[in-house]
Amino acid sequence: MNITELFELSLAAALANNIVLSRFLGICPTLGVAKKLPGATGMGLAVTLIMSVAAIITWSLNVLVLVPAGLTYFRLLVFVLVIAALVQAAEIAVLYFSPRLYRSLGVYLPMITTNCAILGLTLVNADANPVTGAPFTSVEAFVNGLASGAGFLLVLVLMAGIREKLETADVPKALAGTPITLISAGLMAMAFLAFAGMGASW
Amino acid sequence: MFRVLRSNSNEAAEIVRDALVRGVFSENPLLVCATGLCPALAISTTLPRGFTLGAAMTVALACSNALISMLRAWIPASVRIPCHLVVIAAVVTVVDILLRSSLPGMSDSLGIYIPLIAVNCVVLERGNVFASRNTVFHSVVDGCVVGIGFCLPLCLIAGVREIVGSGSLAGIALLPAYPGIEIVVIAPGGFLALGFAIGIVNFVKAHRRHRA
Repeated sequence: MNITELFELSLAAALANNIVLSRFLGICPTLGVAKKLPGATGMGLAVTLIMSVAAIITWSLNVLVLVPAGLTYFRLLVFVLVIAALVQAAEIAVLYFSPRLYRSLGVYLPMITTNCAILGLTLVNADANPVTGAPFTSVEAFVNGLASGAGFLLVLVLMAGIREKLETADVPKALAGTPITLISAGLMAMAFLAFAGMGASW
Repeated sequence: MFRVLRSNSNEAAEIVRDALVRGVFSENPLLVCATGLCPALAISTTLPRGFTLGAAMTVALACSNALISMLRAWIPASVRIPCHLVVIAAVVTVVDILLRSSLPGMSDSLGIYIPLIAVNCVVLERGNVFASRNTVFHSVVDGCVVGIGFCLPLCLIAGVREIVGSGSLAGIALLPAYPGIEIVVIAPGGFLALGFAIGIVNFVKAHRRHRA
């Protein structure tokens, strides 16, 4: 694994195969949470952190335990439990270090457990690396997690900015709320298609 | 004895009908509640894919609701969500294995979206809100109708996207000289299609309320 491949992988994970606009994972928090900029930033950073740590732990469990023992059918169960435990640990850590952040995140922190993005990323790490064609190494898995989280944060922040503007815009009544947010996301996805040549598709 | 049996079956039919109206129309998970959108946007590119995911979701919902309802007396309230997650993950693993063995091509095309049913907001919400508080029969019916409520709009959106995007339906070319609008079939099309679908539903609802 050399630096060029890692850089290519991180660009692909953050922009070309963006986890929200290209792989359609993590739509629910993007539509629900990203209403105000500070909340969106906090959520995005929390998801990035949990995603990177989950990527390492699940990759280790997959490569060191499940695959050698031939128990790959337990993969989904193990991954879901690991992510749930991580989110619980993150919640306790946030409560200990910054109660104010805990109160501002509110109910959204436990909701990260059901975030398709994190489980989706760990399952992608279990397949082959699209850049090199070989299975992911531990560093590549971590970089994939970090870069995908960064892409998620980017989309969340952009979406929050657009939604703040949409609140004062003259939207047709039938499209108000979720539909106009989805249409905005669609236009953003079209813009992100410009990155499509940058990375190998998954 | 026959009167008891008949009244039980009448009651059962009424439960099923009420649940059907609720699950498919008034509380449709995709179009009204707007939950569980992740697979819906990714999968609805062709009709067979949409239908397979909808069917898998219905099966997973019914089975997980049944299991959670059976175990509801033994799950302590403090660890309810992790227990539900474990049950749903187990059910989805079985569904995934069955799908991979019976339809390998379709399973490859669906990729990671079948395992992702395990953290789908719809499945978790039905298990948590409904199945943990109701009988097994109620829960299975609820799982089936919510699954149908998920599958129907999914098939509809998938069909529209496939026709507009490539002029064919389920692989059968309907409009032979149609060049195809690629953007409908890939990423942005899903967002736009679902956004307009929910918009149409909102418009119809407001219109009916205005008339009534």
